Amino acid sequence: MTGNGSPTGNGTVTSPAAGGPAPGRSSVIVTIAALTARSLLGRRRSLFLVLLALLPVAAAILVRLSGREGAGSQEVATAIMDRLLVTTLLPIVGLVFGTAAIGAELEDGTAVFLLVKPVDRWRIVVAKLIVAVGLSIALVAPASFAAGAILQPGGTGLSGAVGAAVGTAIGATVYATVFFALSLVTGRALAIGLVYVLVWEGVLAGLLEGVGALSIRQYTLAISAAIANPEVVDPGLLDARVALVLSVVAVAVAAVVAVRRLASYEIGQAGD
Amino acid sequence: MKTREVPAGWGSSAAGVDGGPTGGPIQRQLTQGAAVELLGVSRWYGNVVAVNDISFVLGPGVTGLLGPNGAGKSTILHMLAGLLRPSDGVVAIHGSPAWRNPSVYRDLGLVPERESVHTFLTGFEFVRLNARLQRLPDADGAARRAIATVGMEDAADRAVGTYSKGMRQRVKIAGALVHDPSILLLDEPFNGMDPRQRLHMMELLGRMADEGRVILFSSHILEEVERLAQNVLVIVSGRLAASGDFREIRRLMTDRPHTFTLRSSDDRRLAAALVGHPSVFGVQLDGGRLAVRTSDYAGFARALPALARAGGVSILELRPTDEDLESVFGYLVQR
Repeated sequence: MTGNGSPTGNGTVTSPAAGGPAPGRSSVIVTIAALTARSLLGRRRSLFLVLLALLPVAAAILVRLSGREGAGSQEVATAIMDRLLVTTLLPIVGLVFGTAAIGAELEDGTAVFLLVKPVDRWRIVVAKLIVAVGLSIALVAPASFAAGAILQPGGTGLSGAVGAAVGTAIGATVYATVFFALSLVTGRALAIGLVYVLVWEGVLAGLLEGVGALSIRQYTLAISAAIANPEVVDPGLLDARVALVLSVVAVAVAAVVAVRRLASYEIGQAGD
Repeated sequence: MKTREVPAGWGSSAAGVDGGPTGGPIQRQLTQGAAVELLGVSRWYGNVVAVNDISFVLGPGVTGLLGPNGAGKSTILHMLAGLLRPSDGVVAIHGSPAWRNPSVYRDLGLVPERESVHTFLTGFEFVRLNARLQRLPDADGAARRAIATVGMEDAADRAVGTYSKGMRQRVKIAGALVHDPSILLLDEPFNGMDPRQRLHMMELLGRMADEGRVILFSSHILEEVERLAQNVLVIVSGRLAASGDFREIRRLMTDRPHTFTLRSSDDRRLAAALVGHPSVFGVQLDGGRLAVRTSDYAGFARALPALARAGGVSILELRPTDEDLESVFGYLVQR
């Protein structure tokens, strides 16, 4: 059965660079983004994340209602802003959305129909990253702003709330992008992401100098403090400008890694 | 056969590059105008060879990719669909490499074996999504046409999560067909289907082949391939064991010696009757069972009831003992 016949139909394959018909290329990104958003929000864990995001706000309200003043209230405010928001909520949200945006689809097989389309892989990455990052920011930044506005740590007024919102928005962007790339590098992205957050950022960054440069948590703290008031809010280990540059570098590197990995992503196992 | 040289830079150690234990450059050439071609394709995972130096060319019509589970069928289909990198050799779709080349999907549709549809989408939404990703000018219209092709109009507005296995398979096919590709690859399309659904699917694939499409489907079930495919590729342990017209391969399979186990009201009398029949060349009485070896499957099947009736023996059980595909394919490989 060799050499039997010529190809049928629209047999000529145009080059990848050739322009597609009618609907624009941007609409492909919109289509993929809409599907990703629906997929991420449809899962039960989104509800869990919303509840988690409400937790620091609720805690802030309780602290204000309790009427505590002075040094004690300052400690509580720091605990909520740092421990609850930056150390817990932010990485969890970034981890869940970052790894689920494409990693979950690769795992359950729903990514296949997307990969067998004449769509450049970078468009798939861009579409999914927009959604993963957007949803992460949408959950974390308002919660940070609300908690910051209620608590006003260090009496910084609204600048503390703005700093927290901007810092966590940038942190969410970095976390989601890095974990997105990680989910294309390994099937254990969730576990490795947790180890990074708990061990690297939680323990080692506090003990070893230099680890802060590779800690997204430290980027967030530095940027938040610079906008709020570094005299009052703890800026952590890094200078804000350094943190900003490192954030941009981390996002860029992760996005490039994600595109490269997806372009040569293999599906299928040795045993059929 | 017209041929041309493979451009450099294909695959890992692609055609034209020296390779193989014999050393020296291997001149491999693609067939001009072939819709689908594998040329000296191997795929290994570490030390495990999943696909071993397979070459074939596909033209219009239905081709069955037949082989036992784990033979390498899915690996071949995944390489054809550009989802797996061949470790060696060339996989070409209309003369272009399938690997890392999304443009081949303009004229290729894949129906994977795994459930690959978001269950929250309706059938129509899923097919329209495929149309949009293909950048079709009228995605809604194309989706409706594809859904009509697979006969899913009535269920198109229901969520895929509520579909039966057969309906999911059909909606996956609609999604793969929405851009009217000339090449359709299906991985075990009949798995989990009931007989009615199978029949419907066979009709559908037959119709699409009549339209001049190149259709390749994998299966480990002989009868499915027999009913649908004019051509077959038999894969055993990662190698192409046989290829060509199905009737020829089927004849080889049918003519091989068969062994049956029988249980009857009087095994000894039945054994005596059977041993005199020309289709039987071995009879063994073994602990309440009768083992019969035959070289003529059809002749034996016709003779058995008559012989039993003539001898006044009732047959309680008749069971083929070597019908597992491994032995069938093993026999083919020996040929």
